[in-house]
Amino acid sequence: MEYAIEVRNLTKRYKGFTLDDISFALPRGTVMGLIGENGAGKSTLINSILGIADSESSLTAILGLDMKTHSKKIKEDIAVIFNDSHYDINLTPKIIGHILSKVYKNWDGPLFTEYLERFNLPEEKKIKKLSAGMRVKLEFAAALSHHPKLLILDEATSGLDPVFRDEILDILREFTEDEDHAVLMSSHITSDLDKIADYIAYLHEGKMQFIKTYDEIRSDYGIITCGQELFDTLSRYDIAAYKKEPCSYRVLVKNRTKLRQIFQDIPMENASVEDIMLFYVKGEKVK
Amino acid sequence: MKGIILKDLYENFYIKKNLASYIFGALFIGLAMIFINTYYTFILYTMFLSIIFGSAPLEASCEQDEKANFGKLQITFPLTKAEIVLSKYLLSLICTGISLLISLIYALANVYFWRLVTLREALTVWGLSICGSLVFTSVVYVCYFLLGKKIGTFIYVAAAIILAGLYGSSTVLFGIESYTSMDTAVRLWFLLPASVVIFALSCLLSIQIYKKKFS
Repeated sequence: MEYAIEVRNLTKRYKGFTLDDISFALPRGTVMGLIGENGAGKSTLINSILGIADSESSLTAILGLDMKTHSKKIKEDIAVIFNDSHYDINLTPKIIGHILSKVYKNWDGPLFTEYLERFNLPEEKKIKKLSAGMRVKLEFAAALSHHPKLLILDEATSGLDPVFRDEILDILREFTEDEDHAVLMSSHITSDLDKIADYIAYLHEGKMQFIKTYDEIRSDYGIITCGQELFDTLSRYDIAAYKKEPCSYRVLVKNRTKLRQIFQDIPMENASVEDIMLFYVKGEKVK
Repeated sequence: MKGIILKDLYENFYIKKNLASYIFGALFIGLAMIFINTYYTFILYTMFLSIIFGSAPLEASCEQDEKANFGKLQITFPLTKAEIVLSKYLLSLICTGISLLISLIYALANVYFWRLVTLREALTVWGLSICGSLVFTSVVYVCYFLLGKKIGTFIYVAAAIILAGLYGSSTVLFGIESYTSMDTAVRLWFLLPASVVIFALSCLLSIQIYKKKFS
């Protein structure tokens, strides 16, 4: 299988924080949602993959090329979008287009103009006069106009209202219709990932907790509300995390199908990505 | 690198506030050149013009970049960290070149139009201004990359004031003729390559600082 991103044993150490031995692969034609609480290491992971921050790894390959030796070539084919515009607010979209035409070899001016029209972004209006949503749209227009094969979004949709976010998700869907394209998207807004992600990678305190397909998450994880007796009979290997409530336990189980066969009468809720994250962060682990 | 240079040019000359300061500076020096033209001011203008304007582009672009946190985006462009720094130095060379050309025209005007100095004297002072602008840019740029815009600008202004003070005191201590003497003209054969070496070293040092900053 051809991967858009392949990372093996990536470690980045800061004072008081370590991104610890991360390995994962993002297949082409898919969207991976990177989730985790603030400070979990999502941006550090993205920065390390992109070579913005130096890190140790046995392999960091993007679009089949080693990032250490082919970073310039790779960056021609990727686009990174952050949660706000990083262009000078006194410049206009037209000037941004002019600048980027000198940055990227495969810059497509007519396509950029097309995106500006589609997003209702006036070419001559200064960025400072654009709303937060329009600025992010400008980032998308700029990012997509050099025909990237990989999009990396670092909390890009965080500051947007639901309508704007939905539009952005449509753009991403359109982008990944091409089987050669892929998206790595870090986000706090797990409902966005519910709509678009094929894979979910969950990072907690610098460690990768799991990488699963969205379907696996739906089929593997479930939430059981039970008393002490049932809680004690559950295998510790099936419990991802639990929360003790005044008269009961809420348990996130990670072997839903197996447990369903054993405990046929117990009600089991579906676990959303957000539920899983909250259980891992706030719940207790079985020792 | 063209993209980064173009962005810096836009930030320097498209943004009204920055353009206004260039126009104000040019008008001030231009009028001073016409109305206060003595042997003393000839040396001052010829040297200061290229020294101050040569390193000004980084001041404006550094300010704009820090405001927008452009560095974060810039590092995702298909450029190496060395190329990003190099593009800043190339722009300074372009601006220094343009201001040196203007100061050469001014120096020649003092030879053939105002008849204030001889051609050798004019070229000696102009040669010193090449050295001065390269060394000044070298020091100021390292400070900008190392310490950021705020402290960088403070050092830029402080260095310009110190330089003006040194010029004033040197004319008292060694006499104004020391700037146009035959000895100085001969020393230029050493000073010019030395300043080019300092400029290259400054560029290498800034690359290392920039790499460290994004590591």
